[in-house]
Amino acid sequence: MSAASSPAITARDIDLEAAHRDLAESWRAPGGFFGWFRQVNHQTIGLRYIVTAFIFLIAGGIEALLMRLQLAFPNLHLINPNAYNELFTTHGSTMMFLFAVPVMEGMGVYLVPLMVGTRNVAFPRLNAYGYYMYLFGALFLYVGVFSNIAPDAGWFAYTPLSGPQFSPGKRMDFWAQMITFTELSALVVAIEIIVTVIKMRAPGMSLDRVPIFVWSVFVQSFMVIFAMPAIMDASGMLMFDRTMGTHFFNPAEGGDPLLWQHIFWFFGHPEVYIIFIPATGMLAEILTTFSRRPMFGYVALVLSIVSVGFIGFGLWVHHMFATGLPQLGESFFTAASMLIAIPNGVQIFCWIATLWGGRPKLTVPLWYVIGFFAIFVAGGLTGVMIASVPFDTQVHDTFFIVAHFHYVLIGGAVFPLLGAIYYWYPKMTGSMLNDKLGMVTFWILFVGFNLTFFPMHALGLNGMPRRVYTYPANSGWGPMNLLASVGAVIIAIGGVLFLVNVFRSRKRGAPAGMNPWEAGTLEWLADSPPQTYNFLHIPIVSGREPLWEQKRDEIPVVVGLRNDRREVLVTRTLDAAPDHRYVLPGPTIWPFLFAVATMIAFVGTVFNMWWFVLGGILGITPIVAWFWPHRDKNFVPPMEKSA
Amino acid sequence: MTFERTLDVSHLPDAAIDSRGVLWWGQIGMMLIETVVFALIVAAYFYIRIGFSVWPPPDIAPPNLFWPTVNLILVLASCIPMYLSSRAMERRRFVAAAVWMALNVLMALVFLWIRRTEFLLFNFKWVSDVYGSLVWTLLGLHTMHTIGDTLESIVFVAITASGRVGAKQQLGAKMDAIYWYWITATYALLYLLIYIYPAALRGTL
Repeated sequence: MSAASSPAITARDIDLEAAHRDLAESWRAPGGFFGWFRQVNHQTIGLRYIVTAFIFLIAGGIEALLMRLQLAFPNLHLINPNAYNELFTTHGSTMMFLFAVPVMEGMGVYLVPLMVGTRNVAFPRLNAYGYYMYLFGALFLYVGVFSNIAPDAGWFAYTPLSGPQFSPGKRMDFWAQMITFTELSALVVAIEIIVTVIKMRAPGMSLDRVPIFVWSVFVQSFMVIFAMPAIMDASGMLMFDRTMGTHFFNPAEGGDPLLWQHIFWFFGHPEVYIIFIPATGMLAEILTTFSRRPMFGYVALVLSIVSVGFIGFGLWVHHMFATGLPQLGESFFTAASMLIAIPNGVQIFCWIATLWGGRPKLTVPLWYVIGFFAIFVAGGLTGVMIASVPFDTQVHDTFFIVAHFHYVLIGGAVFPLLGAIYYWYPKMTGSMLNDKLGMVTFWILFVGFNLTFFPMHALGLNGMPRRVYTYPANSGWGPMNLLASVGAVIIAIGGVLFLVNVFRSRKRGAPAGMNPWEAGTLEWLADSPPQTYNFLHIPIVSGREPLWEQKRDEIPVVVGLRNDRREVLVTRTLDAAPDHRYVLPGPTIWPFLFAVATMIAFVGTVFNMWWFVLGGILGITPIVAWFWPHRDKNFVPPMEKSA
Repeated sequence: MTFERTLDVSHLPDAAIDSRGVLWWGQIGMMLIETVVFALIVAAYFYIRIGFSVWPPPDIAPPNLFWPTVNLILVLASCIPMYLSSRAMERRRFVAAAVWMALNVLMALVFLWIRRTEFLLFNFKWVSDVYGSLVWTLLGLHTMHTIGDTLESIVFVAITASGRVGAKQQLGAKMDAIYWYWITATYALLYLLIYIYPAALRGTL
């Protein structure tokens, strides 16, 4: 069924005031204290993810500073070895599970509905549930940290060290359950995004017109679906080994500690791309806008993102070169590790060509992209080096690896993310960030970053192992470590300036207007900050950069959606032709209560498996209430309608 | 906006009860996730198996095939009322839909009761050795999914009987049925892995 173009409806027939009023009423976010637990709008949930993730970035940053303090000079004893183990474990776990993945999810949840031109994600209540899962998991880990139950076996928790024999107590159980919480949240967001992208794009946004950021989180979401179950299996098996006496990783009863590494890295390597791919999407948007031209090689770029998504699953064993693998296995995974440099290279060349062929406007977001180029390419080069088994065996577990993955993760994900915050902050808040302060912050972060992590290459080559709490003076590692610690302080200063800018600009920043950067994608068609319903009318898309191709008030729009309920347009998968209308649910408390029941199950399981049953029973009421059909104006049974 | 060109969608249906609906895609996504969860544990099973010269380990008794086979036939048969229920739902014959789904729930409860027997028939526990850990985890996880979907079906029987059936509920009941087929298919594969494979290796098939 296709919608007919109807010239009959003109401006005269549409009461814009009434449309605004009705939409604002039906999409109203609940207020008050209890309203907080009932929110289902994607902007609210997305911002919650982003803010929460940045709070945990600060926590992880403080842990990093403490470690750099301890390593600044040889033979320091400010922090004892056990506390140091807890610090690096919590730092890594926080940055990976509580910052990097959730912040990318938050950006996706916030931006995808705006960029594809719809009013909310496909499953708003599930979206809220996912956020609470993340929040509870994060709080759970930090309750442990502050009650002296912090995990201490490293963020990848290798067995047998993390198993019942060598990690008695509850430390690693807290870690394992934090994983269960956050992975559940990631999976939920993945479903949201995939279905929103497949079914809810504005009419005309065929697959070859989808913005690159949306493509990137779409591919990321598929990676989440295939990678995250691995870590849920792994953390589940670890929990069973620890609390119920199973033997998955216990060699005495036929288990195999290496099984952990295989499952963990089957998740862990794609995880790097789960963090990195949305970042490439962000920088593609920034690059396009400030080069003032459409992306060079759109199709090649999208295909290379997709192929990174596939090849990312064929690399996990390169984390295990030092475990003594069959030679064929080593060769295969070396080849795969080098292969992934090809699509990444294609992306880099597309971006350079875009800059080259455009009229670049050097704004703060674009500087972050340029910073990304410098840092990420350096990290990519060391990546190609450690893809080779003999070299990897040499530097395994040294600071060279620490340097490599910080170059890749901070350069590849955090720099584009900060650029993206500068880029989309005006949309999210309605005010611009301060440019001068932004520029100063960028350079402080760039210098601080390189000062911290570049010396670590040398330290690693000189043999300094990672995860040691101190080192002797005669090792000669002192000066480089001091340099790195000074760099860490500079990064911290940059971080503080960034936060100052973010807080000050909310009130004092220049008003942004709808489209301060003169960008071409749909989110810039909405108000800043967007109304709860995103768009007064769903736009009709006629190109990759709709706002560049048509003047704002000449963009054709969809009419005939009901404004008195949360109605959205569902379109066809490939060509985004209108298919049917669909009513999304409004605010509700049940996802929160179901999340509480889930929390009781997960947290209780750390102590006794029967808690899982209790949590399951407690969950029945909220889940039934969640799915129980309501008789309100949003529910019009077809029987009555035809009568 | 000048509204020079508009696209009127008011005549489009306000729901879809097939694969065009968002719920359909969401449920398929969830089933994909759960398939990966099972597939990776099965992969772990075969990874562990490489380290053994005798599989299953010598202490493990050859599986008793009678009750698992009964259960497999039962769960396959239970797909029939489930199918009839979701077809009745599509045709908006809600009484028939509720009755067929209730029959499916009854069969599911019997299936779960026999599942208890399946566990009792093992001469090993999850703590016995790694084989026990793998088998109990796989079958336990499947039991959890079965309980979950059975509860979902009970809720759908109640919703259907209450007459509060809109397009969302029609599609929901259909997805509940598809989920049950997935549970059936998963059990069929686990049946091969947990019962037939070791029996064949032991020559007791």
